[in-house]
Amino acid sequence: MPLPLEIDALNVLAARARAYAELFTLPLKDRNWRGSSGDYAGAGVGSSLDFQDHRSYVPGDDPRHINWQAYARTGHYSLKLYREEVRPLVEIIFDVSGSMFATPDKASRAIELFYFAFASSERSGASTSLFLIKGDHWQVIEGQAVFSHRWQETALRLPATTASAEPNLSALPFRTRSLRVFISDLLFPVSPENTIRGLTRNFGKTVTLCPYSKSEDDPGWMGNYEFIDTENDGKHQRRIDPAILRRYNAAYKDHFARWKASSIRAQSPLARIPSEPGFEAALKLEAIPSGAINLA
Amino acid sequence: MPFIISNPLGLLALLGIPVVLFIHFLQRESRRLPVSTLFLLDHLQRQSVKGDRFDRLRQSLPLWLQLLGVVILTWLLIQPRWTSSRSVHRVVIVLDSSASMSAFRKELDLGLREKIPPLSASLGTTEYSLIPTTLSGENLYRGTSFEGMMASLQQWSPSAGSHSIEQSLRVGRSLAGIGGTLIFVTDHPQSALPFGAALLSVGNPIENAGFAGLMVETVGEETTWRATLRNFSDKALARRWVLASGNQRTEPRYVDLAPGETRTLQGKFPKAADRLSLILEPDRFPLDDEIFVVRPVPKLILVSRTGASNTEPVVASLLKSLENVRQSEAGETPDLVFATYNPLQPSEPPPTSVVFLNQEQVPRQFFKGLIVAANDPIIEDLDWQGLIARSTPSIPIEDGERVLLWQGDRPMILLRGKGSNAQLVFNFDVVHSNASRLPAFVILIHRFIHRIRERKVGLELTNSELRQTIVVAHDSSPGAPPLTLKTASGRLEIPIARSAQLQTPESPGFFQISQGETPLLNSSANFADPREADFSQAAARSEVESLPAEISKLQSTADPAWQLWIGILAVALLLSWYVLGRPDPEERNNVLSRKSEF
Repeated sequence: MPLPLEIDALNVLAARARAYAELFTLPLKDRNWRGSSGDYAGAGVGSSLDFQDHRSYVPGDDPRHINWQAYARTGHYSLKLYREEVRPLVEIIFDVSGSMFATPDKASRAIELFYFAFASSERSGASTSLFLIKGDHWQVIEGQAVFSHRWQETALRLPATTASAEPNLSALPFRTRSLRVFISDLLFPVSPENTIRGLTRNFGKTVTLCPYSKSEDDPGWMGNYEFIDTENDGKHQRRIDPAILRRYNAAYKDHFARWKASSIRAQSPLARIPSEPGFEAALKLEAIPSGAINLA
Repeated sequence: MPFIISNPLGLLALLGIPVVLFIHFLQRESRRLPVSTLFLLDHLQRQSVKGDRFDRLRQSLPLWLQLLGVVILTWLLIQPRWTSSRSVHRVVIVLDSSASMSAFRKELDLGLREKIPPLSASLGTTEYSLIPTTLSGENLYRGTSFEGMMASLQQWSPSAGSHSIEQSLRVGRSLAGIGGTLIFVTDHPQSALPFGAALLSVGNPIENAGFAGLMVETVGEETTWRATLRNFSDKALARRWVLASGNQRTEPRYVDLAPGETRTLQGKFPKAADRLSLILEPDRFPLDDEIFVVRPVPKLILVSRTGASNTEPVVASLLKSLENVRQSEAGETPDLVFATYNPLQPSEPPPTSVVFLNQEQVPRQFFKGLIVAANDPIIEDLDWQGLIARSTPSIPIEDGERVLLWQGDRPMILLRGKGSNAQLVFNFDVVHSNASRLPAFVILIHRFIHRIRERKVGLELTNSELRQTIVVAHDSSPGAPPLTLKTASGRLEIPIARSAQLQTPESPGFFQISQGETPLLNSSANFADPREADFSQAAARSEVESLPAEISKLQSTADPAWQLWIGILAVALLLSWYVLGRPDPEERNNVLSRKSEF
């Protein structure tokens, strides 16, 4: 199901994503952020209401933070330290290769995740950057382009790639210590370590949301097929018999097993999200248990 | 319980099995499918280049369902039926006993051996009955052995002329019953046989030439024979023939017969011989190849005369016209007396006599009134309207006397008595009438004398036909010896009580009938039905081939579960159609997702 999708359908997806953003959130609380003031705990001491520690007063400290009750008891100046609240940095990388929109349900789920990530990021007050990527080509989009669905036009302008082309993440200008939300079906034949390394560079944290459809997981092929590559519309004659199908299923499971293992090693949550069930049910299968998505 | 196949052609449906397998060997048409995981397939084996349409057979539910469907369809098409081992199938074969069948004995044997056994090949017991169309009260065969029936055919010799087959078919149907099989075997095909009989015609149009008729005339002392020879075929034929008398034979003579030609052969009887035979070169139909001839001589009638002498000229002219009549001599009892009756001097006439009224005086008046004849065979078709007779007193007439002719109120001719005593009375003056010039007068007296001759026990020589019913006057008194029929093949005694059923032999030849030491008849029996000798319409035709199916239907029951098989067949085909026609898993998933998309 190639782009563009109908605006009405996208509006529905956007509305639903905003609603789910109130129920679920990106894992922004799992780390201390640096940056401008915001709603999330920073790495340093700040002016939030969250008590962090005591320490002795040294010249130069703000006298407003002296704990006068403790001075009355002990006769020593001590300070109450409060946690810093900063604004998180979120970068959403949306894989817009043809495989993401191979089937209507997968396309809907992928766009729904994209909208959800953006809505959740915006709701948390994060500084959000958006990237559309397709193989070696990528494009930054503005936040207004998301719910106005103009991102489709940008995605369509990205040139076609070879079959199963790897997204070139190393070229993306990620900010330091940002949260990188990578929405991709991960259907490209490269080592997961390289991709995760590209996502986590500059001390970034990565969350990978991987939509998939049952037609990929358990295709049930049997007989002759003329497979059409979703990336470049290339035609490929294949004869599928039970033995080949079993080998395909094994290769498919092995592919994502390697991705899972690499994600665990990199402490970067990866959640495969099926396309068929509802959004909430789909998140509860892997996304929430793995920490890729948190309850709000 | 034996099982039979009503429709063997249904087995052709089994060809559907290789067809189904062949189709499943063919690769199915490629389905177009967008796919995003081609890189996972790249290292798997690439399949089926274009043009290679065969692949190893893959087991699948549709394959087994379709094979099951073919098997069930075959089962239904062969129309299986179940028979009981205790069932008895009756086959009654009615053989056409007309003489023409004698030319096709070999074809008959082959036809029966080919057509009859398959009728009940798969049934329990078959009871065969073999009866001829000339019903004689006995079956040629009745039993369960086909070979026994064929052996009994040797005793059968068809020699009858054209005859009705309806009665024999009626008997055949009663023997076979409603469920039995009735087959009429002939050589001339007939359409629409009654009583549900099936036709088996074994004839074919063969060439035949033979004797078709015989006439023997005696003029004075010479007897001449005339034999009609006919070519029944549509081709010219050349035949040899000889004349045999006693132990002597003439040199062979040749006759050329054009297609359909009838030729008459004739000659004089040898003076010393009273019998001869004409022998034609034999062909496939032998019955008409020989004709037997005796010099015909009727029974001798002894005649005497009494009464007035003026009737002598009339009597003399009558005797002159009669055959084998002689004046009785002293010591001989006359068979017939020509007598006169004078009403003025009445006397009792002899018991067997022709009586002329003789008044001796010439009457003046003539009889007046209409002349009316009675309805009696002896006077039938005789014209008496020209009779002119003078009025005379009448002979006394008693009650119960048969009047043959009336003129006005006057009985003119009377028939008296019964049996051997009979009097033919002319109740008018014959001498003074014109009766002697009327043919009716002479013919009436000839008929009367013929009756007397028939009743006389004596030797007669005549020619007759095969199976001809004959009447031979004989002594029927209690204790009289039986009649003896003597032919070239033997002697046959016939009880007096069955003399009314006396027939000439079935085979051509000379024969004699006698009673004790008294010879009664010397005769010949000849084939005399040219219709049987004409084979132009003979043909081979059979309606028997269609009988096994009907017999099986009557003697067996259909598969009671056929409706169940049809149901299973329908389910198998529908399930196969559903499995083959259901959408691919990808397409199905797509449809489901579209429904739950928003």
